[in-house]
Amino acid sequence: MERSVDPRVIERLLRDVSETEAEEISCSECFDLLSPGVELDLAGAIDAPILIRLAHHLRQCGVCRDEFETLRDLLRSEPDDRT
Amino acid sequence: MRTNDEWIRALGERGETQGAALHELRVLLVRAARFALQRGQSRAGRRGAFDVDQLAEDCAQNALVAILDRLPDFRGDSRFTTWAYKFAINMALVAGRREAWKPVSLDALLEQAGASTWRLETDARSVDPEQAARRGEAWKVIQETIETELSERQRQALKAIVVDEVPLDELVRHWGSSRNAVYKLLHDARWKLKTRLEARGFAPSEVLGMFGGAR
Repeated sequence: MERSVDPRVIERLLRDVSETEAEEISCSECFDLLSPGVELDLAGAIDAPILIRLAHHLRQCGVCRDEFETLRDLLRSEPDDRT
Repeated sequence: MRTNDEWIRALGERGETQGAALHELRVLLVRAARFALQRGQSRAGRRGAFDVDQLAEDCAQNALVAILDRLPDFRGDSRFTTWAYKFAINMALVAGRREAWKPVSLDALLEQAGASTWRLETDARSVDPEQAARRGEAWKVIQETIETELSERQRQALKAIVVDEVPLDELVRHWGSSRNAVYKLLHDARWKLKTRLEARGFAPSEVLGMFGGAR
């Protein structure tokens, strides 16, 4: 059975393929780094080692990316004096 | 507002101090879960018809249990509440996806995904015959690798997630697996595609250019 596939789907797959590394962090490691990572991101610390480690996984993993973005946007929606 | 130390101390105590901290934390977790569910719901479109408030309460309760269980793991490398929120957000997004995908039979979808081969939609603007031939060769390597070198599970996961946009968490649930395991399946499939393309003389960035420019 053949199924028609939009080239954009293949492009998305090939982008992920081209960025695949032999060793990548797991979803559990990503979860462990999530809260400091989001705070560093909001502070604009884009060169922080934690964010560099997270960035690659977040490009590849949609569910982890969703969690990162949701946590970031939740914090953005809060007043600054939150503890 | 409590400091991290005050949160940890209060949650570790007994009686009224702990009760007040638990209540305060639960309120924050319900808010986080509701925030996550509402985002998920708006993305799910017509599939997202579920009771956010009830689900938020359930997710917050489950998150609270997980947080108390994992309290010794808190390293203090973020605000305590940021750390706590991630549990509620994780549970809410997983639950929201579950609700949105409930009507879909993953058995049927995976069977179809695993059994079907891909036919690339052609683009009439791709007129350079040399370029078209090279693209055709790359496409053949991609097809062969997917159909003959990936395991059945890798093939199903790759096709379901890439083409049908099935959330990884739904495959985790369906297979009784873990996020790490399904992510590893996908990683290994992507890595195999990358190394096979390279072995046949195609740099992945070149192949990406061929297909990225095809629209």
